[in-house]
Amino acid sequence: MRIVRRLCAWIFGILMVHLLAFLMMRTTRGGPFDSARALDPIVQRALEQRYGLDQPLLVQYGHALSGLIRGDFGPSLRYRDTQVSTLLADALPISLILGGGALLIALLIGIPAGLYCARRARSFDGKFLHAGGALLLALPNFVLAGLLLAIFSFQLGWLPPAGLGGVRNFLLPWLCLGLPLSAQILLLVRSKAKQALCSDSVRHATAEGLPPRIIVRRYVLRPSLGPVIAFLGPASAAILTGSLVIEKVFALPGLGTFFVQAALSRDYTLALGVTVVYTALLGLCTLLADLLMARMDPRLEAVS
Amino acid sequence: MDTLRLYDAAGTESAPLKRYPLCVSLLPQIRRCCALACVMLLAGFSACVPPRAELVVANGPDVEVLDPQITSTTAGGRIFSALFEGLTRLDPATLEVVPGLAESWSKEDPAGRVWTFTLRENLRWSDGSHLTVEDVRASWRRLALPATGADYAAWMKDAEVLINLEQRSVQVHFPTPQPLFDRMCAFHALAPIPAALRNAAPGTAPSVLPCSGPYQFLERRIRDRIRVTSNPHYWRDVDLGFESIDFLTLDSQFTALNLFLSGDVWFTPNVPDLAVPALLREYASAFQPQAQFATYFLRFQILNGPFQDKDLRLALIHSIDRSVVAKNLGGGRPAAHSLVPPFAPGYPEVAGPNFDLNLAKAALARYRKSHPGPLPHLEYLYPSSDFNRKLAEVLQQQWSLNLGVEVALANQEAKTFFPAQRGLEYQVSHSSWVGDYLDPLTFLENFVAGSGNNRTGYANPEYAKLLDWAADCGDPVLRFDLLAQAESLLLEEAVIVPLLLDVGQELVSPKLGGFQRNASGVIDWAALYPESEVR
Repeated sequence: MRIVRRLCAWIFGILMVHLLAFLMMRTTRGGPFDSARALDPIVQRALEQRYGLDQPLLVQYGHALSGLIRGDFGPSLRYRDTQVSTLLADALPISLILGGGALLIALLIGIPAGLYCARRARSFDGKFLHAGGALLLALPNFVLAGLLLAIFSFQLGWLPPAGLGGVRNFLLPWLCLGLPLSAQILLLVRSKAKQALCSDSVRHATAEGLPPRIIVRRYVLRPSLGPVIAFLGPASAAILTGSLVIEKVFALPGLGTFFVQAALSRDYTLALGVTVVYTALLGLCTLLADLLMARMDPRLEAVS
Repeated sequence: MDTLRLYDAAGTESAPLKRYPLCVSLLPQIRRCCALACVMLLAGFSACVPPRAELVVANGPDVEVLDPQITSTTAGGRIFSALFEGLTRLDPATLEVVPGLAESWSKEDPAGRVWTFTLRENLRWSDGSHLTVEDVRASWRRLALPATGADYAAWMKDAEVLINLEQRSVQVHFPTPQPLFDRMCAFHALAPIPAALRNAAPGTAPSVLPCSGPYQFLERRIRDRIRVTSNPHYWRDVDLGFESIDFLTLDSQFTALNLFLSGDVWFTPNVPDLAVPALLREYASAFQPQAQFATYFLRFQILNGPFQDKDLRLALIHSIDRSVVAKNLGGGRPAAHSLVPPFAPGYPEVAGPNFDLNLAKAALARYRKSHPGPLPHLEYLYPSSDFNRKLAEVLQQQWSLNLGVEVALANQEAKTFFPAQRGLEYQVSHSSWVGDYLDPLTFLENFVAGSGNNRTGYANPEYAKLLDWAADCGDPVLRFDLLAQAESLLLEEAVIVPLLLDVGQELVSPKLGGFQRNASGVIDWAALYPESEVR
């Protein structure tokens, strides 16, 4: 029942965001056919007629809404010979590969490093790792991209600097997106794990003589993962839909660039399409995170 | 061993804690998730890894519509020049008009109202079907149709196209003189396009796109690349140096430069201005910036507001030291002293405004005399970009230091800027123009009253009359003379201020042979070859 309620809220959220995005795009000055080179007014009118932009706003919203329900956003106004659904279908896999890999790297580095940091909080290496995490978090990703490119592409010549090609082409983008995220996870895990290490359950388990490996796994890792999952819900939606900077630096044709490009070029249909995809993914990821957290900590379920 | 036993204060054992299904350990789940993600990632690669083409070039921003009549960007022009041949072509070395699909052509009257082209015998599209005069007529008709939405619809508006299938001739009658129509035919918007493209439903691209150029279209991955392969039915009997070419979409000039430096691409049309000094030093043979047929200039809005007064315009114009602007902006762009870049062969040099502080101060004094009190609020409007911001700041500094006049800066993103500029909602604004073909008219026709590209409020019947005379005059020398007079008039009236010429920042690998630099960025893709190859 709770899930049904959440799904209804999710659909309602998508509709509201769709309406807001529609209104914001249409109230912004400039249209899709304005450019440095003026179009003949007759040509401009013909184009507006073809895309229904000459109709009242309410009628246009009706078309957009029925398109949303049918899953057809219509042709892009910038890529005039391509449907928005084709653009999204082409770009989404690239974004998923990019974001999925980055998430994987973030989890594989962030969680063990956070646990290590917490256990050795007072020693030099723990402090060093903690400071390194904070620094990584503060570093803008284009700076990180520049550094990694300089080292791995130009100094060592191991990895290609940009473009689609294979796993090697994705390694640097994964690191650029994943490392700051892993730093975030490190900090979250560290603070929770430090608390957990001082808890009664850990003291008892230690007194019982359980091996440290089991103690960490069972009584330290589990409570530490709560905030990570809560954070990863919305964060994974953002990272799976691409990153403007990383896509631009590494010339990857993912979804991220569309968010900015579609708005700047007043590509109404594409902008609505990417907004809906992002909202839907955000809702789903948050829902998944909530369900996972409720299973991990039944007290949450009781409260809700 | 896995059950945790708890004891109460009296030392009696309480019931063992119940274990939650997920609580044994999350690590196996994480491991499984990771493995699944890895499998999905690797599977994803099979879908998105294209093999390399023989020649890979960086082509700049994406070509949004694969239709030479609709896309008018320079990036589009580079691809279309490989795929679609015009009735004429431009020689990349001299920029002279040379035969393309048409073997001959003639101007039937001195003013150029009627033109006749004769197509080559046995022309074919890349799919083997015949390319006939009917294709030419249908393409030009489609260009003029408002529903096509072409930037260059006006070129063929009201033109009557007559064909003779047997003689392979196309005759076009224009209501107004078109003395340069043969040169315009080399531009991709006028190249014949195949029926598949002409008849494609709105919002769709044809699945097969027959081509007429040295290369044919193979594949398009939006925002990644467009791949072309050799066209077996191309009319010129040339031995192509590369069987296939990838035109990469690269939004960032830094990325393009990285790919060039790593050897992944052999050509990039632009480089970041920051890199220019280092490239000039270390890649002297690969990097030779060349001024283009394109100008950066300022527009004044002269219908209302402070710049209605010519003296205030003159004060601002004469206080700009173009050499300082060029030096501060970098990138190798030279100062421009006239609106039309000095590359149209035979066009006389037009003297533009110069840097003269005495003239500037005298003009300002005259303005102050006629408008007592403090100067009004002055504002310079520009479309947001790093380059435009830098230019705006240099100009602001020049006006402040040289003249003591403070001009505020305002920027808008391009889609807001252009309607504002067109609606004359500015005082003085950034502008630039790229000539469509090597002739002064492509710059000067913008400033007649009623042109959508005027955007200044300038409406001088004398200026329009000079352009009309030039259009009607059959003598090329006299025509250029009239056009030069019109340009002088425009500059004297202080409606626009030429600032800089744009430069072609082509970076060409020494491995790429046959490349010709020129002022219009024309590339003959059929002439390129790998340098190691003995030809």
